[in-house]
Amino acid sequence: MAGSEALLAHRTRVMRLYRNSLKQMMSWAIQRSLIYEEFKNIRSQFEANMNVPTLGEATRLVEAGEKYLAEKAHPDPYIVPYYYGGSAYHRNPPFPKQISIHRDFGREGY
Amino acid sequence: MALRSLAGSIAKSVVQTMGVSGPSALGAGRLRLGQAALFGLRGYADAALTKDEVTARVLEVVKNMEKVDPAKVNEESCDFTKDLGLDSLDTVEVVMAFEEEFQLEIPDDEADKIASCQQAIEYIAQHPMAK
Repeated sequence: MAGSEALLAHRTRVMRLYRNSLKQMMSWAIQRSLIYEEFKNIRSQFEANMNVPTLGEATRLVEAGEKYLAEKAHPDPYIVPYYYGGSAYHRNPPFPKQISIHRDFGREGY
Repeated sequence: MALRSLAGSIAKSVVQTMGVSGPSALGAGRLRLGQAALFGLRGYADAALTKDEVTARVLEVVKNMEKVDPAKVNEESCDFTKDLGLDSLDTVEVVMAFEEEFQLEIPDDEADKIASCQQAIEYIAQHPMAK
């Protein structure tokens, strides 16, 4: 899966890198006041490299960014509970329609 | 009825103890705690979000973003790049703001497709876990 990012368009790759870096920062910096400062830092790092002349150099920068992101992975990232890997994933899965609850309290008849 | 007024008063006290004075104090629209608290404490009668409610909240979020001119945001023509003049990193920030507003997790490939308010409204309205 690691090599499949190279198949994406460059713009999409940059957008995904930005998204994942913001989400990872939300896992690391749990105090809300720190988060917006760090978001500004990340944004300024992205904007500093915005006007790079060749696509090859831009691709190298994106790959370096993805490598940096993988280095700083959070050991216990925040995942929304109902999503894959979250705590409430499949907590109440829907059961098949053949199973029905037959309520006959008091009328069992044995 | 009584439950909703009780919920409203609880929500107001939550907003007051957090020291938040309303949407104007919440900055770039990412932290919608007051509004989430008000909408989150609902009875079970209206568990699903209606499309009007989704539209209203989405437009609120977009209007509160720093780089957006609120006068330009209307329902029909708010493509992020063409109408509002945002670049791709701003689009990412807007989608993150939607995720925080509706307490969703939008996967990467769906989030890349959202390029205007209309697409965002359609996506959120059909998402089962949108609050």
